[in-house]
Amino acid sequence: MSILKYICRRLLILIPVLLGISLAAFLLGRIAPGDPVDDALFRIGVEFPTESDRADMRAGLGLDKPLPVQYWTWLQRTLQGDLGHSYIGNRDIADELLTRLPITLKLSLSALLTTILLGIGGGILMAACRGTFWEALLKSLSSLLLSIPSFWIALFLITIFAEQLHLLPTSGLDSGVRSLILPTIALASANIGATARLTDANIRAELSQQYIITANAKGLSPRAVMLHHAFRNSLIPIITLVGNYFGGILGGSTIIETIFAIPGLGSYVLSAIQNRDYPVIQGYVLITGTTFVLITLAIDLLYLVVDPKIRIQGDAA
Amino acid sequence: MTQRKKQTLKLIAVSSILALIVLMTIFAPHLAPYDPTAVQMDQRLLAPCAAHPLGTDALGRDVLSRVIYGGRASLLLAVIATCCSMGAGLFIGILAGYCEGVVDMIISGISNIFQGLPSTILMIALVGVLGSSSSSIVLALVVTSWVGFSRLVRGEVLKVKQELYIEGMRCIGASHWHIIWRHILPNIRTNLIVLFTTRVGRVVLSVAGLSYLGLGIQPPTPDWGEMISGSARRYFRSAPHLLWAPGICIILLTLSIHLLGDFLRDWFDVKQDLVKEL
Amino acid sequence: MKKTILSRLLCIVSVFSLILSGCGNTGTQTTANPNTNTDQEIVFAASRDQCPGEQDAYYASMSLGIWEPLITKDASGKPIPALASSWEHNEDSTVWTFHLQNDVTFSNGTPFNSDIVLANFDRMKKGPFESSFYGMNLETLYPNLLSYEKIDDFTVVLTLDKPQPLLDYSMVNYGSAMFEPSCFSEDGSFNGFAIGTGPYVVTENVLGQYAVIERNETYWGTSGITKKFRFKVIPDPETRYSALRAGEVQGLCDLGAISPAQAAELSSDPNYHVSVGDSGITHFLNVNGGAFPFSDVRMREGLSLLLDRKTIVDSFFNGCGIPAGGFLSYTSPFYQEQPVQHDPEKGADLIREVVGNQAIELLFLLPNVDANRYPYQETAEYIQSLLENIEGTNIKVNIQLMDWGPCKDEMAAGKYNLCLKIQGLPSANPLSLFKNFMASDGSTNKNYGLGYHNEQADALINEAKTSVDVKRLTEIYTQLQEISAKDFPNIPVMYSQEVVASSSKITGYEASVYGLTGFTQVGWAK
Repeated sequence: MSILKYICRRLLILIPVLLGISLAAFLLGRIAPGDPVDDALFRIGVEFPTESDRADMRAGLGLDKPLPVQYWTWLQRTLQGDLGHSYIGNRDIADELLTRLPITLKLSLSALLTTILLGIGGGILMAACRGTFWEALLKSLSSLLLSIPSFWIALFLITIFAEQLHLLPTSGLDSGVRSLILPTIALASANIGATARLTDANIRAELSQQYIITANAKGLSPRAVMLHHAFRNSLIPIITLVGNYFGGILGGSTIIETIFAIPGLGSYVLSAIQNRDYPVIQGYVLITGTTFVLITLAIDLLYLVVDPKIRIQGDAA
Repeated sequence: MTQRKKQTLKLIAVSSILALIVLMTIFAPHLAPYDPTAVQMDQRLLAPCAAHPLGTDALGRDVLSRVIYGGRASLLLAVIATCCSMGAGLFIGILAGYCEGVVDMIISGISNIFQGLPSTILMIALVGVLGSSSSSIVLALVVTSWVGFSRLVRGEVLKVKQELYIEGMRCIGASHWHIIWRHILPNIRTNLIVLFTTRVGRVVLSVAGLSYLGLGIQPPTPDWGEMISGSARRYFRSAPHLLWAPGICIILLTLSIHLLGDFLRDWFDVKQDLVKEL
Repeated sequence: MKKTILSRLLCIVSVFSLILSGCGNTGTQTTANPNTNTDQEIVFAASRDQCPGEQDAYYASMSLGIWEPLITKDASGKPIPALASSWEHNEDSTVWTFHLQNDVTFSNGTPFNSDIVLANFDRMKKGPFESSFYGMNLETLYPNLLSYEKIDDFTVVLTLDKPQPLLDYSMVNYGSAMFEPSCFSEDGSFNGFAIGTGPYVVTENVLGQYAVIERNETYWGTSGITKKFRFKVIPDPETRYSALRAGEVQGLCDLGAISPAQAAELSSDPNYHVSVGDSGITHFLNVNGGAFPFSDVRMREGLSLLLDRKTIVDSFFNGCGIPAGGFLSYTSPFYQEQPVQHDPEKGADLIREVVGNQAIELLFLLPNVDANRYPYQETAEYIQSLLENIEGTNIKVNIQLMDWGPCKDEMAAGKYNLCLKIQGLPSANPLSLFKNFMASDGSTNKNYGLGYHNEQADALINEAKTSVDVKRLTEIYTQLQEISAKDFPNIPVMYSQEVVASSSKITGYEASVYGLTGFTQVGWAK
């Protein structure tokens, strides 16, 4: 029951957060520089607009009304699933975002999964191999991964695995899973390094805690101590951070998607930003924001599974 | 004891690499053989030679001089931006974790909103709006990265607060400041240091990412990030010497910062144990 | 307990993989396992969609050969017949009569005739329509159009309110695209694949990823060699180049297909073929003539003299380009060569006269779109070094990369000094270009903050607006080019040349200004 209550409370908190995201999405579109009216006119062949052309287009795009009114109408339409049409290409934005969302989700989730598997796995290995050659190797590798810009990694991956070895495609999505391998690695690399280092650091910190020393003293095997006590308690901050990474991965996908010619949300919004296509930017922020909040919720619920202490707190609340 | 000695030696090694890089950037005007912005069109794209040990770029500028100058802008930006976001994150995170209740809910809500906006997009949009200057890059970096700190801090505070001895402290009437300062801060210190070092390294990379989009540090200011991501990328195959030196510098810089963080952490751990034993 | 943690982790992992596999299956496998050489698909890559789709005014780039215009142009830019076999106009060029080809059918079998032309005008009337190539706007393409009428099945008459001696120039290519009317939806957009009379037919189009075109087996003209082409979208220039080198694509096409540095690498490699073709694009250094120091013509002339255009072309553009002396592109049928002058000492003197030794900061804007396609950053840094190193002066130049939107705003507000920018030839009739850039009330003149004012130019442009005589118009255009080379409304740097590259496995792929042949000559090498 109390867990249900906790989940309900989390769901209730979701409402203001989603409203906040929508407000931020709306404002982000509005504070962007420049006047989209001229651009919209240019695209229909009016290269040199008069003031009345401008006024007509401004009214047509709804940009002549005060901001709160614009937000309210926008929010109402958004709630009905209508994100409007893009200034460029006049396409239905909701449609466009929804066809692109699965592509970006597929890429980001596989990057997240790779981060979790290789990052936490690497961290545990590091902690387990403490003092050996392997620890040194893994450590330098994870630090190195953190230190290389992702677009450089992408460039090298393409040059080596696609151009030289012809093992994997350079770009696009038309080779199924094989298409995803290089972008996933490029997107996950820095996060793998960071997660591995953090896992290692936390396990170490945990190992020096009083209760572990007690456990050791009780004569538990080192492996049991590691897995049962140290690993478990060091998971919380890692999960928090992996949650953070998901936002970073979603954002990082902008550059990676552009490099690998993947028609996901990231490459879409990047060109929208360059073209000042406000409605697309708004729709993007809204949809990635919502996705992210839902993923965060899922991760929060994971706390319940991993750390019983929070569960007790949930009971109390 | 030998373990500690070994650690100390490593610490000295890593920090001297970092110090070397920092000193190189500080004393760049005295070290660089040429003016890093002097264009010589008749000396374009020279391979490394005696006069130009690292060759020249597409405009005939000396690459070595540009590399020597190239760390200035990035380093300064990274340190300032990370300090600001850590300060903000620490304050907000402790506030949320310690106060709980309504305060926590509001702060969590706000940080969830910020978290919900993908940082790269927010950063690009903000730098785009404010124009690409150092101050707008710092602002964009702080706005997009304080949440990472505050969430980590809050999580740790929540965890530490559950510890029996903290409850005990509260029972015997210790002040909030005392508990935060004496018991919570030392507990989150290790993670903060790891995160701080990670972030400084990441900021250098983020600014390089902005350069990839043409929004980073603007030419002709020599900057490593710009040198590996800007127009030089087109010479990736025909004149790779343009990319290697600044690339290695960036990697060395972030790597040594990260390793320094590692050693500091180890060092703190030892100290923490000592304190506990006392 | 150990087990439970492991199983929980396994649970999390399997949930993730379930989500992943759920999202999967959108990637399609490349099929095409050909029997004969001409049947095997040839793949090209470009930075943008070659078929921008239903909402685009033209659905596909003209070079793909999906649709054809009434009028196209020859190598010198003069109008020549396409779907219209001939045309004539009355004395004051207000009534134009077009005679259509009478043996043409669309790829779906519909015959091409006058009714089709009228239906296309009906559709144009519903515009203006957006396009990623050129916008489609009836009012700018056919100004003062009174009526369009059918005389017989293969004759159409356009009647205009005012004389338009160069109407056929405006109608070239994108100005008179013809589609099968059944592919239009109610609002004038397309309701599916566009259907044209061209040598190729769209068979598959996934926006942002690729488009596939196949040979039109019933084409009225000379058919294409290759049965099937695929056009991939790869926005990043490095990746595009890697795809060519990896053998995934056989050629790179469209604007900025390959950077000059990359082209230089390939030109010495027998496995690749680099082709350089004419382009209507001119690279201009726009200056803020409304503010000191470029308000002074000596400053503009000085900078022009300072520029070593040959060095720019040779060093940064790999020799692909022509130093520009005048305003109008060399591909325009009205082009008159203007002398290109390079005299750094005289240039420095002129600039010194204007600015003396006062400290001056100049803002040099670079629009991202163009900087991504062309080596603008190097060029800008070169110009920066020229200006900063004039002896006896104290000039500082700040280069700022910007998205084109905000960049345009800064220019219109006069908050800049220099901006490197491309300008294309929107139509074979250059009047609108002259009017926009050189007339005192010209819109580009205002929008770019050029602050240009020249009474002689104003008078000539006004005369051109009402002139009915092609010969007199040609004279006026020549005079305007001469003015531009002396008075510098902006500073022409170079006329662009398009560079494309292909693998030696295919033949017949050459760079060209949008023309009728397109990809029909492209085939696998023997």
